[in-house]
Amino acid sequence: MPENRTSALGRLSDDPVATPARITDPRIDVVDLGKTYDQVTALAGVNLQVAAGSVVAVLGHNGAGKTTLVDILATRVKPTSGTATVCGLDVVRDSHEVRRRIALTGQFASIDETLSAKGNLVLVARLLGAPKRAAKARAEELVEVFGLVDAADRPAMTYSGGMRRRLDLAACLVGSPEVLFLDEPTTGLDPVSRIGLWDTVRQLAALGATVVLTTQYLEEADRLADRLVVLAAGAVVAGGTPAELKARVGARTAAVSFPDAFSARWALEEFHRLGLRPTLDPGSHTVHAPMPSPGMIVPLVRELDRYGLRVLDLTVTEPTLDEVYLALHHAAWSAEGVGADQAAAGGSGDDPEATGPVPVVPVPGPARPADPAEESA
Amino acid sequence: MSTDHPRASSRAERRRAVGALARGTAARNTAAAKGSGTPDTPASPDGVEAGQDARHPGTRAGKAKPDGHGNAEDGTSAADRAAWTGSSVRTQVWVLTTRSLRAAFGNYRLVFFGFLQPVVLLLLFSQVFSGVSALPGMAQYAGYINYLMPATLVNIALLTAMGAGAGLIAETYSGVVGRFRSLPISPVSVLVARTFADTARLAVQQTSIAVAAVLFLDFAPDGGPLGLAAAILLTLVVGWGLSWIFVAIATWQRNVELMQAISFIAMYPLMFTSSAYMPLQSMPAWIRAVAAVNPLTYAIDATRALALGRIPGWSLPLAVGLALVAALAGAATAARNFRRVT
Repeated sequence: MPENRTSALGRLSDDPVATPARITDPRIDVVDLGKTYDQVTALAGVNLQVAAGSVVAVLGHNGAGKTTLVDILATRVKPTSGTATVCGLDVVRDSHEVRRRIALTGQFASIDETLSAKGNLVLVARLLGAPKRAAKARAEELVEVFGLVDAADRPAMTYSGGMRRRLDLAACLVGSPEVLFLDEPTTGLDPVSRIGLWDTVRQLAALGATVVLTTQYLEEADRLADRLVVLAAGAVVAGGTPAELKARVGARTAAVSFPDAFSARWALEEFHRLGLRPTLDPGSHTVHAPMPSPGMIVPLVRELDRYGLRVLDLTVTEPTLDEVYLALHHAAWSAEGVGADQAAAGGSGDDPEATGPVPVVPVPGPARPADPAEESA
Repeated sequence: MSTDHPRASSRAERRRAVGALARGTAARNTAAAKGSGTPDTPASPDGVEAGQDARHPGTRAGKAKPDGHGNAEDGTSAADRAAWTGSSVRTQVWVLTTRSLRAAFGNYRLVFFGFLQPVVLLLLFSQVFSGVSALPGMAQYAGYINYLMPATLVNIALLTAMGAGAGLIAETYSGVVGRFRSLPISPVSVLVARTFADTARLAVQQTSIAVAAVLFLDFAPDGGPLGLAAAILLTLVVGWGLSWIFVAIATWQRNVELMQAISFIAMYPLMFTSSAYMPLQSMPAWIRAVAAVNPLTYAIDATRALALGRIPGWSLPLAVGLALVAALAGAATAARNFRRVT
């Protein structure tokens, strides 16, 4: 059964990176991991390997199983089937040992509201076994690094969302975690805080930490991660480097705005001749042209230049997660002819508040209910 | 498309971050190079051994545990931090208990109303039930307050025990318990610390209310200060035992409203079908029968006897024994529920 699942993954992802040869000595090794809550399948057989020192982004909508996956790896939730090891240690059997090597920030800041930033950091340091004075010194250090000096001594309940997040992340870095799990670390952050957090994650990775982060945004995953894993309905539907994934999804879109309808029409014709499939938004005289490759922008601009068309604005937008899903959906359909009903076997799992429509992506291969017999395996 | 946000100050911060974090990585590498089982590792400075290491020999168990003073001027040098992978259960309980206490006493409004609650309780009951002193068998107490006060102490213990459960749920939602769960600490430490902190808070509360009753409400227990102290000590044991029951309920039903409903149902029948407010002789026969199997009756009788300088008889060992049974059963259930992460 497991090999069946691996091959199913392989069919979907035809590039060599997405169907990885087994990494020797992976920092995280997930084999056929399943998790079923009462009626709901949160994870339906996930396979994943993360090399030491890499940054992996787990992409997916609410309810795709991201949080469940991270919670299992961080030993907060027990799987119903399959196995997972972190630093070579089983997350169920050696959960205590795993916790000594990891740190986790959840979707909601895990801090003591009544304590100050320093108080929180000292608390974590002391619980990690730091002597009092060293704990204090480390707290001072981190408060400074994370820009919380001004608020360091007032209770965390007075903090803004961004400050809480920073404190949460600081609490993760009190020790020296080998693996860092960040569950939607930038959700609810303003753009500046988000960029700051991205920088921090990049630095951590540069220093050799293994980072697993979940996100709903392809852009974020693209900027941070060495590898992406797309999760839908509790199963991995694609994986690879950001470039590979984007190449398969294929759709960066150029949006060119013109001052008048005439130039817009003209450009539309010319883009057609380039083999693109542009659409015109007549209201704003804007032509949208999905580009099969990022390099397409060059001939596109050349055409505009050749006819001396005046351009008001030119932007290239990344594909959204929805477009990724859609592209994968089509790929799965054409490759397998899998009925959409099979996808219903998965379901929203990790977030009871998830209300938005979850794009249904057929799970390639038999969507198998969690097998309790495998729990011991 | 630039990801660099031009903020000089935060850039500087980040550069420092690299420094601070880099030392951590270096630490890991040196520690790894040393390998496990570094010889003659001194205990950490506060004299606490890394107790849990013993259970995991051969992994990181013997990793360097520097003395925290020698390595770097700030004590957070690379090698120091690499060893921060867990503390002993004793340290965990101590750190967590002081944390809870600081939170409890840091909020002066909470302290004030926490103190006021039993005062109101005492005032109301002493006035509303003042006629009780005319009942047969009450003359020996020389004033209803002397009969009521020990029962009120037990009542406060019960209320505080309920608070332990509600507090645990509140913390679970506030996220701090989530943090504890991802740290290499024993879940039992979190629970034990919770009950310890609440019992310590109870001690302060009981002492202050007892003093207030003596000063302002003509509470004059025959047992004297010693008897009163013994009575309070007993209520602490009872309160600690009871708190485990409510902690167990809290880990089972993680819902504050439900918790309160259960507490409410538990509290009133327990208090009123006991000898708390009136002598049992004056009650209907069936309530007397219920009171005989109500564990609180023994706690109240024993507390009253100690405070009033009488011989508690069987009620004292029964009260202590029942409290310990409650603690054991509650702790076992709570630990299992708490560890069982969905």
